[in-house]
Amino acid sequence: MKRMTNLWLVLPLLLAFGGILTQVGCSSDSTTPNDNPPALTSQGAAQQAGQLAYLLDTVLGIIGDVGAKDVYTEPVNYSYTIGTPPDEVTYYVNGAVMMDYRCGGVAGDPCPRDSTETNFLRIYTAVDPPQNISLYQDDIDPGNLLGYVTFNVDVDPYNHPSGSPKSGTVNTNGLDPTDFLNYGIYNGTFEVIDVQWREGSYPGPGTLEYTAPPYFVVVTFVGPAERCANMVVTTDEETEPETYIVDLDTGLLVETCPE
Amino acid sequence: MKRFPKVTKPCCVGVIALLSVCLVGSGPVAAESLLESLQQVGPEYANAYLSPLIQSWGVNQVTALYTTAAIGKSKLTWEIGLKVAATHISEDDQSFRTFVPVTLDEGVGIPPGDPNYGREGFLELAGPTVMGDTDTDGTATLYVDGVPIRRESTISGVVNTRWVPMVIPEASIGGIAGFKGMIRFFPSVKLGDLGKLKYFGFGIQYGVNNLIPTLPIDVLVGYFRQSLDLGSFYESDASSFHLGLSKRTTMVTIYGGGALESSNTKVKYNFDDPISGTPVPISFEVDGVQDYRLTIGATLEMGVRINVEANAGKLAVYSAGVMFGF
Repeated sequence: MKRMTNLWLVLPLLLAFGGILTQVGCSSDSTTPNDNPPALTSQGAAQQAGQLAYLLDTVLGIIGDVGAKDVYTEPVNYSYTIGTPPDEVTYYVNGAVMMDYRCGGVAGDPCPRDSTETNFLRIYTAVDPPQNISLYQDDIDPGNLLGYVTFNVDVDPYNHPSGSPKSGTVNTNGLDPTDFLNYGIYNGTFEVIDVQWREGSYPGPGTLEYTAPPYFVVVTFVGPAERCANMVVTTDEETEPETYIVDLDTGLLVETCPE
Repeated sequence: MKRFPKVTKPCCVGVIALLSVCLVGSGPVAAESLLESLQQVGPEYANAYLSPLIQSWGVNQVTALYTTAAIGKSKLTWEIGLKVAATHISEDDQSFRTFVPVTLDEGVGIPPGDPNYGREGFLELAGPTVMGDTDTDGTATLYVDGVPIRRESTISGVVNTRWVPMVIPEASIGGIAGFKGMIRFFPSVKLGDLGKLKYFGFGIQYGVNNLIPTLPIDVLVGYFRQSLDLGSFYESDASSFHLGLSKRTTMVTIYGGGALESSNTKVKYNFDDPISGTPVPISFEVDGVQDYRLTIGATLEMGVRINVEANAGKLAVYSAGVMFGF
């Protein structure tokens, strides 16, 4: 009888001991790979910048498609296809772009877009709620997000003479948040510098600087009739700069610019 | 992984029996379902996906090798019973992310003529492990120049838990010139097309007090080796050199010790290559990460022995058991 009494006394203590062990016991090390991506390559940085140049060209292109709206906040929807059947892949660009028209420059008052006094345009992606311009791929997995970009650029001066193509000089406006590109598993920041834009044409001349450490990429837009832009990639280290060409119709690197 | 398999939702393989080597009852169905899932992914994916299971099983196999260090010199004793060992894996082990360099060619579904054909890229393999989220599929994404050009869904987790248990049937006989022999055994079970489950281990321990009777506590040294085979799909071996210490009070024995151990697992299966349409033999081998452990435990001595213990090494393992004997 005494033995049974002891059992019922000691068994809970043993179980409590076991419970304590599981609670205060050591934690396990991770044994499963949770690796970082391979380091970005020079060509990879060029490809990122090339895609960015394409997206900038796309965003500038929508100015001509706005219609008569003074404020443009509707989704942007573009698509383009690469390759030939049955191996073609279609990419979709969408997002929401805000347009802020003003008279008298950046410090001026809001103006209707078609006012003869409108001479400044800010193009930006909304911060709250955050909106990005996204690039999707429909191949195999519909809705597959490849990357997204945040734009904050000013067109100053913004010219819209009646009956003529709109045009202007595009610069990053310097407002937070920093303009960035998150594409694939890499991301970087960028700055648009004096890019001449003319409706219906390719951007240029002007430059786009993309930074994804240790790489620094300068994209040079040649001119309104040039489908391709030139790129030079440099690094923090003392290595020779590398040059690339990007097709602004696709955002892909090419050996020579297509006709 | 060198392919982009078309993946169907894996069968629910959430049968915990698969995770315990005794595999009672529904084990065959579970094992075959897991194999069906693996057949949809390549070796790199399978290696990372199975990692917490392989590592935990390797450790569990050599857990709870003693509940007391007292081994008599000539009084014959025997015990039989059941123990459960469970590894508590890191939360990080419920998912994985790894990168594999690849050449973009037919092997990854890139045909000649594609602008990227022949270039170097990499695959990002990521998602839940076998012990991860059962509602989320993993992904295999092909990158070139850091740009994702193709992505596919893969397989989900099997059991969403951080505990990886193993049931261990055990028998021992001691008191033979200070030695104690032990086996861990489960009758061979046919697991459908997978083959047979084979589970067998043996070990020997020596009571040091038989050499040095003046020691204030009981001391043993021992060696144990365990194998676990699931047909030709999964073959695992683990071994342990251990030193155990114990002190008995009236009803409770407090014990502890240390061990040097190792494990090795081979996995073989056929990958259903969606591109060629033919099965591709896959095999890989994994060494256990755990090479040492410290143990602390307590045994209730009431005719039957009921014990609980904790083990600290690279993996944290807990155990409880009931042993009958004289």
